[in-house]
Amino acid sequence: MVRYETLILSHPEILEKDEKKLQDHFEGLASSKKCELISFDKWGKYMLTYPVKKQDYGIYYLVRYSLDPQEVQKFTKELQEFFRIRCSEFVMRYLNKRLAEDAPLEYQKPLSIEAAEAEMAEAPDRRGRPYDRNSRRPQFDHRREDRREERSEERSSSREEVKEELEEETTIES
Amino acid sequence: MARLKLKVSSRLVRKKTKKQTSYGKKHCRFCGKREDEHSIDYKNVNLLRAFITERGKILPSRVSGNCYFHQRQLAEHIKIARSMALVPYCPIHR
Repeated sequence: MVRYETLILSHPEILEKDEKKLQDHFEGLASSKKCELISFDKWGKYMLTYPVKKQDYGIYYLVRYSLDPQEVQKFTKELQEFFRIRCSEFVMRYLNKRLAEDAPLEYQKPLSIEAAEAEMAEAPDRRGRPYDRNSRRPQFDHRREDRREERSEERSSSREEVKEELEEETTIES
Repeated sequence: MARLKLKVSSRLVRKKTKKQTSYGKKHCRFCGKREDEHSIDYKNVNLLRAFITERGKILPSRVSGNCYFHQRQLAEHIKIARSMALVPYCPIHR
């Protein structure tokens, strides 16, 4: 058995029944023993980096399952038919990928709009003030600034030494 | 005996100081760490964004310091992420 995953990009205004249709399809496949379902995650709403089917936003779902590698071709073809014929209205894009054998099941994902807003509302500023949503400025990194100063001092001191050396070389005694 | 001082060009000074101050060789940040190798993933957008320019181009290994193997792997995952609209192809789409 090899693990696979499918990332689905759906329409931002997907209906609840359509969402259930997606989940039921994979659960149905698992119950009919075509695959073993590992997880069905809803990532949430995201702002897309470019418009897909004239939509600026989208909702991602990540499905993970394990399969016998000999049946993959048949399985993906059926999945393609399902997405393209029966879910063409709300599934904008999808991607099937094989997971590495020793890869862990934990993964990093980008922050969704809802999660980012919740985090912003909770997280205080560096000085303990609440985060101002209107002025989204990057936080000032003091440590980085100190390091930059140190480095510039080093460089300027060595630069002076070199200058003195060069001056000595170029002085002409007349 | 008067000493005559000639003008030293600032470009020459900069060039010499650059030679003297060594920054050390760049290292591939994924090599040798098994956990970090698995972090190269098309879903890990925050990591991938460190390896693309403002214009959405993939950084060359000359700049990022990655080894041959991990540079290919990264490039592949960036291209996958692009196709799923997680990472931009170019800056102005709208």
